Amino acid sequence: MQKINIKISREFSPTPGPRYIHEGKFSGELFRQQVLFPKVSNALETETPFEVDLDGTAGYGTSFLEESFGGLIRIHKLSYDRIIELMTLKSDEEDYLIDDVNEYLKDAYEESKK
Amino acid sequence: MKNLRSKVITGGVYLSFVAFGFIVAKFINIPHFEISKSIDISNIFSLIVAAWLAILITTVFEKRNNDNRVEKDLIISRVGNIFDIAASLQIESNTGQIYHTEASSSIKRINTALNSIYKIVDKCHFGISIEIKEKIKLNLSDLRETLTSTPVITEEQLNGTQLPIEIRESIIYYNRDRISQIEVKFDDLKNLLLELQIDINKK
Repeated sequence: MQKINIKISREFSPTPGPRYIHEGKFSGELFRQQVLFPKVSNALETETPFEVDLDGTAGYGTSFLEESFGGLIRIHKLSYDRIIELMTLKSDEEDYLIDDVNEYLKDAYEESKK
Repeated sequence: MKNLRSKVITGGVYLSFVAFGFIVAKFINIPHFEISKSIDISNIFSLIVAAWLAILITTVFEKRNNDNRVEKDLIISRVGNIFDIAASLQIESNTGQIYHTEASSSIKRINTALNSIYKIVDKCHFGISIEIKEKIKLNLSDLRETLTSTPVITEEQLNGTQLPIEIRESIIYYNRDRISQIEVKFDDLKNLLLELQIDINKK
């Protein structure tokens, strides 16, 4: 089965910005709404594995990633287990981002259970 | 030319040692000590081998030490470059406002430069202690969080709320408390980079 690829630097911006749209350009909220949510929800519906490539940008603020990935669970109510099952993350330039994103997803999931 | 001159000087020093030994032997008579005028061929051979080994070992070790020194100096200067990036980011954030892209990209530059140093150090076969690597990783993660993390809060909730960090038009604004926290983390990072330089130098 063909994997869905999401390369942030190419499909959104090489200079990711703050958390919310009202805070400035290329926010995590905008990325989630325009790119991440449509692709991830499609992947979950069609049971297709997807890869998010974090390389090639100028660097990420913590809030951008938290809003993008945590927001999938917090705002769009997507299934944490399904995301973890189908998602792979690529970050050769900053390997610690993979742990960070997994942590944001887990925190949002834990928060949603309360 | 310089090389030839240095060889002539070295040869002159050796010759003067031989001459000095000859003069001492001529004028000083050491009692109960007799030098034989005949020498066994096997002794000559072992003398030559011993002298050759001494020169070889000295040359090899000296070259290895010099190579290591040059490599260490280059790596230490690369750590110095990271120190400069950190210092410049510290000055910017201390003003209380910084472009979001600048903060996140500087942290990425520091991280990628450190990873490249770790790889070079591995190639040079003198590893860095895991403890210091972990300390730097933790510090950078904290610093990135303190510099760029804003709370999950809606625009309505935001009105009238005093936050330690706010972002407007892609510019991050810090309050005094947050600036102090950032300063402490930058000082820790600088100390760790110095520790890293010393650690590399000792290898």
